[in-house]
Amino acid sequence: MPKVAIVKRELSKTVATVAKVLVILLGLLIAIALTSIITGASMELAGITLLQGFLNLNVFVYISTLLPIAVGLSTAFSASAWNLGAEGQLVIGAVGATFIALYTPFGRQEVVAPLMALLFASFLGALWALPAALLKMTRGINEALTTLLMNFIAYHMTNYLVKGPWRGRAVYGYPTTDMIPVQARIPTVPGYSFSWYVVVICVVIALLMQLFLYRTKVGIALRALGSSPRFVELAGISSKRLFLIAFLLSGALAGFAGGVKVLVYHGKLVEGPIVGSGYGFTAIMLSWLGGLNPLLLIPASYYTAALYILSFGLQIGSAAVGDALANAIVGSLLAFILLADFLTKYRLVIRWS
Amino acid sequence: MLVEVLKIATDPLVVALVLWVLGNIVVERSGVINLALDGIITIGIAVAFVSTQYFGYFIGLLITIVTSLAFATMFMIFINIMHTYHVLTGLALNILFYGLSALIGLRLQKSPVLATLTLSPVLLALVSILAVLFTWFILYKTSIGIAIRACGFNPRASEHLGIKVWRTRFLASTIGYTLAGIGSYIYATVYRGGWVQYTGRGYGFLAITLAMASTWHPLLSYPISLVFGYLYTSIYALQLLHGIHPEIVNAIPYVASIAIVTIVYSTPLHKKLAAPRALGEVYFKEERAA
Repeated sequence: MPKVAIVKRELSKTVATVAKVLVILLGLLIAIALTSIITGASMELAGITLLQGFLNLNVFVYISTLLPIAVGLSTAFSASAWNLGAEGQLVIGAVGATFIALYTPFGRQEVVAPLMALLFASFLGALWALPAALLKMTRGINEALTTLLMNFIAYHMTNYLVKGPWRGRAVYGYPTTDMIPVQARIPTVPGYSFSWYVVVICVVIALLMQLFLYRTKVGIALRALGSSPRFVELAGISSKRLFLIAFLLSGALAGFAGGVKVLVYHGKLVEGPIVGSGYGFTAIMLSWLGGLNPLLLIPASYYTAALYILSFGLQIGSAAVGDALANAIVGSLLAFILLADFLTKYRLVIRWS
Repeated sequence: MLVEVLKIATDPLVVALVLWVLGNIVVERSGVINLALDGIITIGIAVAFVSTQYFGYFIGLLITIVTSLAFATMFMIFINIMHTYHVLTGLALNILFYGLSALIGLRLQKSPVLATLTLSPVLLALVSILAVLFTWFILYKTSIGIAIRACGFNPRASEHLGIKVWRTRFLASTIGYTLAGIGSYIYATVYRGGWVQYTGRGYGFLAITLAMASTWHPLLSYPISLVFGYLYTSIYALQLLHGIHPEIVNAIPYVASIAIVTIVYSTPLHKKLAAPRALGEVYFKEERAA
């Protein structure tokens, strides 16, 4: 009777990276194969659609939302702070940005308005992450579950706002607010709904976070918190404070992304699930795809954005099947990444006795 | 009052919800954060809908349970053998399962509707009450249940006591997802009688919420599910009678769940209603290499 055991192993960083890249390429092949099988299109056509996804400037629409969230989350996950609430923090950030733009005197001042809106959005995002962090620190309540539930509270709160007190006067009964003033909007690239300013800010955030995590004492302690909390305490740094910092940073960056969505993309507040549209959850997987490394997150977010565009390309044939297919592709790709993680961290030992 | 309670207890939606919550309780009691529940429910509903169209009600039920178990096993293989992080696995597989459910439903359905199965209200209420008692009995009165709860509390210590953690978790998922599969079947055939893309998405997270609100105790989960079932089924009546906005009613389970858990943890109640403390911990048993 053979006995199978699972044993930990350490692979060099290069091998682990190569494995991940292989999985990512494999993911592209799966995407093309599944597409052509299900829709009946030729492999070539599917491949071209995918290639167009990578060359389409619209990738920046997704990058400018996904990258900041994923950078924040990778900080949280490095510190073993399981913040699953990025979706809710994003939505609340959008609410904050709308509030500044529509209901405060700042809303009509150029430059000041978008800056204030983004700051307030980040602040609200961090605030929305705070209860879960405090409950974990003081009562030991599982933060993954509380943050998950906070998402739904944020959805319903936003829905309430746009259907109730904040419903616009010029929207013919649709559940949205009025458009925010032009002064508060961030100028976009003509013909596209993204802004170079925001893209640059997002990349700068990723670079700064890389410096913070790998070059400062707090950042290094933060990364150590995930693997050895006791060691961090012995080094004289409060592990609770680190946990809180990681949590609030991830909340603030998700809130920032929400602000960006309103100021650049929507131009008004819409229903919660539409503002969020699952970015918060995608970003969780994205931060894992990038190995929790802010620098690697830049190419990883580009790849994810291209897959998003592929999913819209697929929807042209039949929207329902296209959307289902996109989910199946992304889901199986993520499962493969988890599998690759397993194969690089553990090995199977088969013993014949 | 009594009439109201009876009406809620026999509502097929509430019965399905009770079964999902119970299934989630069994799985989470073994220490696994069960986020894949949402995807497996969605897929279960699609399979129940399609398979009933082809093979009739009884075989449909069997197929639904078997598929739910198959996907649950996949989830458990990831968590227990590949040692992946519970929440990541759950979220990733959810996306895959949503996609699969839609492909199954869209490609295999014969027609977009299904003649609903009429079960007597007494039978429905009986199913949910028996399921509650069964889950409570298994978890608190048998050695299997003690093993399951031990794994959720401290997997390392339970391994030292001779409990095989992986095996116990697989067993817990089998029990839990059988219940969840029956729930999906009832939702699809008795309650809904139709299917559109992603029918049922979100109920899994609601079930996770309600399980948390009942501190993962099967007996408490029944009244709590009934209360939220009442809120859900009378959402528009509440608006008309008391002017409560539907969105606020929708948010209540989530707020209440966090509030209840906070209260339980802040008072001596948590000694009586111990939550699975190792929930979400990746458990790796060091084995001597060959």
